[in-house]
Amino acid sequence: MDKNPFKSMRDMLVAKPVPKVDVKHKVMAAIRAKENKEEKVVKKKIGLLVTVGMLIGASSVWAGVEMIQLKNEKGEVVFELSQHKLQEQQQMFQQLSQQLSPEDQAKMEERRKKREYIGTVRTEIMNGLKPGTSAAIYWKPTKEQGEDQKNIIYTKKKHPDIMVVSKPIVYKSWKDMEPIVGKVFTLPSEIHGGFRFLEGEVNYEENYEYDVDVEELKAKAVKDNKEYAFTEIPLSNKFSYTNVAYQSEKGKVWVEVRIAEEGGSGTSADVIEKVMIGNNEAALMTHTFEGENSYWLIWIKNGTDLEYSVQADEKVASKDEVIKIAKQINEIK
Amino acid sequence: MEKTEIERLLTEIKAGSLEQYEIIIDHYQQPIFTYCYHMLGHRQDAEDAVQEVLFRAYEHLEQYTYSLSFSAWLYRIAYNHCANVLKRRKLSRVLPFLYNRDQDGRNYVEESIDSNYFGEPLERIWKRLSAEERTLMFLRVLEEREYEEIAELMDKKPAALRKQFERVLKKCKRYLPTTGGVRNDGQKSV
Repeated sequence: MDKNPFKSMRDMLVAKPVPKVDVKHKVMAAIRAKENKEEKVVKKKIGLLVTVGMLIGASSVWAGVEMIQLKNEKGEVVFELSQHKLQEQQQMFQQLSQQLSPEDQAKMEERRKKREYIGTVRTEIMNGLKPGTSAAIYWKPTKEQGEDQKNIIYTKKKHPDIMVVSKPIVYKSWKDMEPIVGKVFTLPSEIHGGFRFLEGEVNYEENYEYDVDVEELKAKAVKDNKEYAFTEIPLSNKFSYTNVAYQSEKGKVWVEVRIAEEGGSGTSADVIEKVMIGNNEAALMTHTFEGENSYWLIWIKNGTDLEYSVQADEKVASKDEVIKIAKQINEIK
Repeated sequence: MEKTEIERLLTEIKAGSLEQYEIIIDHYQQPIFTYCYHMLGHRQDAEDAVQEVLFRAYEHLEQYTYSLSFSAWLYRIAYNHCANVLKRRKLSRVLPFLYNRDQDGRNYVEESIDSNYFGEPLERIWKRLSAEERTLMFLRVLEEREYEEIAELMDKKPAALRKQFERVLKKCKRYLPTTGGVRNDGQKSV
C-alpha cells in the first residue's frame, strides 16, 4: 500500500464500483401523492348499508376517506373517486361483523355463499350465449326476499327476480369495430409503446326493457327442480362500454371507453392521485400486489359524456407510459 | 447543466411546473446516490436516501434562496440525512435491544453495513470516520472538490476544513496496510 494516504484512499474509493440508480418515478409519485393528499377531502361519512345489508341500525360508520374530484373545463365536478383501502374495509367489516349475533353471522355466511353460487351460474349462462345475444335469468326468491318484495312496487323495467346477462361481440381490429362505435368515439390501431390492437368487445346496456314472461320462467324452474331458469332475449341497442386490449411483446394494456354515469366510483387502490391528460383532469390509481404495481387511469373527456380509462401493469407500461397512452387517446377527435 | 438553466427550472417548478422537477432528478440523482452510497456503504440505504433527499428538496424548495449553489444545497440535505442514518446505526450498537436482531442475537442491520460493499481495508478505515469526515474524504478525495466549495456545502471555513482533512488523512494512514501485498479482494495493492 502506498504510504501517501491521499492516493491510497483515492485508489480504494475509485476502485469501488457504484451501481446505477433511477428513483425518478418513485420520487415523482411520492410528490404527486403528497400534493393530491393536500387537496383531498379527508373526512366523509360513508354508508355501509349495501355491504353489510343485515346490519340494521349499524349501517354507517365514520371513516377517513380520501377523495379526488375531477372537474371539466367549466370547473364542474364530473367524477368523484373515493379511496377505501382494502385493509380498512376489512377492518370495518370485521368490527361490524363482531356486533352481530351468531345467528346473524350464520345468515351472512349463507348469503355470501348464495351470492357466489349466483355468480357462478350467471357466468356459465353468459359463456353459453352466442356473441351479441342476451339472456334473462329468473332467480327464485328466498323466503326472506319474498317477504320483502310484498311491500315493493316495481315496474316491468326491472323485475326483482330477473337478471339480464349479455355476451359481447369481439372485434379483432379497429377497422372491424369502427362501423359499430365510430360515431361515438375513435381509438387508434396502435398506441404509444408499440402496443397493437389485439381485440375489443362492445357491450350494450342490459335489456331490462324487454317484457319477459316471468311466470313462464317460474314454471320452468319448478319443472326442472332448479332455483333458476333462463331464456334468450334481444340485445339492447344502447351502447354501454367498449374494452380494448392492446398488445406488445411486453404484455397487454387495456383501454376502456364507456358512457359516463353521474357521480363516480370507489377504489381500493393503494395510492390515488390527480394528473392532467391534456386539458382534462384525470384520476390515477396505483394498486400494489405482492410488490408489483399496476396503474388505472380514468378521465371524462371534456365536451363529451365519455369516461375513458387505461389499465396496465407496471412491468408492461410505466406510469409515465400509461399517461402518454392516455394523452394519445384523448387527442384523437 | 448550467447554473442559469438550473435556476430557470427551479423558478418554473416553484411556479407550479412539477414536470420540470423530473429534469432536476435526472441531473442530480446519480451524484447524490454516489455520495450516499459512499456515506452509508449500503445500496438499498443509499437508494432510500437519494429518494428522501430529492423528495425533501422539493418539499422545501421555497426555502432555497440561491445563496449557495443548488448542488451544494442538495448535498447538505444528503449529508444531514446520512448523518442521521449513521447516528441511528450507532444507537443500534449501543441499544441493540431496540433494533432488529436475528436468532443468534446479532444485529443484522449493523452487520449489513459496509461489509457488503467495502472490502478491507476501506471498510476498516471507513468505520472509524464520522459522517463529517466521510463527507470530507468523499468530496476532497473522490470528487476532488476545492476547499472553498466544500466549505460552502459543509458550512465551514476553508482553512478549518484543510486542517480537518489533514487530521483525517493521518487517521486513515494509521489503518492503511503499511507494506505492499494482496488485498482481500485478490487485487494487488500498489
